[in-house]
Amino acid sequence: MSARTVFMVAAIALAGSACSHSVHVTHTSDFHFEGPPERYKVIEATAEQFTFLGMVGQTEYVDQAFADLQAKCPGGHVTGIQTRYSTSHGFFSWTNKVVMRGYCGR
Amino acid sequence: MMQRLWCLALVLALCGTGCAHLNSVSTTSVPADRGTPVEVNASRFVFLYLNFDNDYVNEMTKELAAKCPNGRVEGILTKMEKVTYFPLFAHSIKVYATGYCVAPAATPVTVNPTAPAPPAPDVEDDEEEGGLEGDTFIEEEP
Repeated sequence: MSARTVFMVAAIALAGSACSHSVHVTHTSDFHFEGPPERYKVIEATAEQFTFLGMVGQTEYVDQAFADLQAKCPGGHVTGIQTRYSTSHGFFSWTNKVVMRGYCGR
Repeated sequence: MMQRLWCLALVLALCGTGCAHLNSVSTTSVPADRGTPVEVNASRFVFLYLNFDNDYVNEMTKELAAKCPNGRVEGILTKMEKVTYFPLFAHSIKVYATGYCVAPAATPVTVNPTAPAPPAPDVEDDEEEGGLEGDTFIEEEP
């Protein structure tokens, strides 16, 4: 394989990086409203994990997203949580992403 | 010689560290009372992808319930991950469930009072006219 071919493949791969995304899991929790919907506001938390060739040893970013979601609703309850786990692909690397969105009621 | 050492170090590093991959995540509604967290987990080591049942997960609900007697567990974050120790040969499946133990509600669950109640359909059982048992028919207005 010539150097020009390698360069072209690398350039295409780099140019195309992070343009493909895949969703692995979407989950919606129970809705438990304890009053009129006006009392609720939408909150969202996101956490990411950069991975190079899949070499990561933990998945604690998920716990971080969940903790952030709760921190955005101090003293209240969070219901109707939609959880989305997806991956954005890069060049020999990818970014795992968890988005949690729910209703905060106080 | 040096290149061989580097290769050996790389192979050992790759084999010695478990690469974790998240398989699924889900949550339930989070209560306002988050003072008593509870956590359970289950795992299974899998050799050569030979796994004959998934019963180890069933114990988690029992363990969660046991950690919250006379209460309810809410705000459960369930996470399942696969840890690869050696590709194709050695894996571990781990399931984590964390939540909050809350006292049982004193009042029944309320519904949205502003939402209009759905109209009750005019339903009659038409068994005498040959309808199957359990079937219902809605009478159309002229």
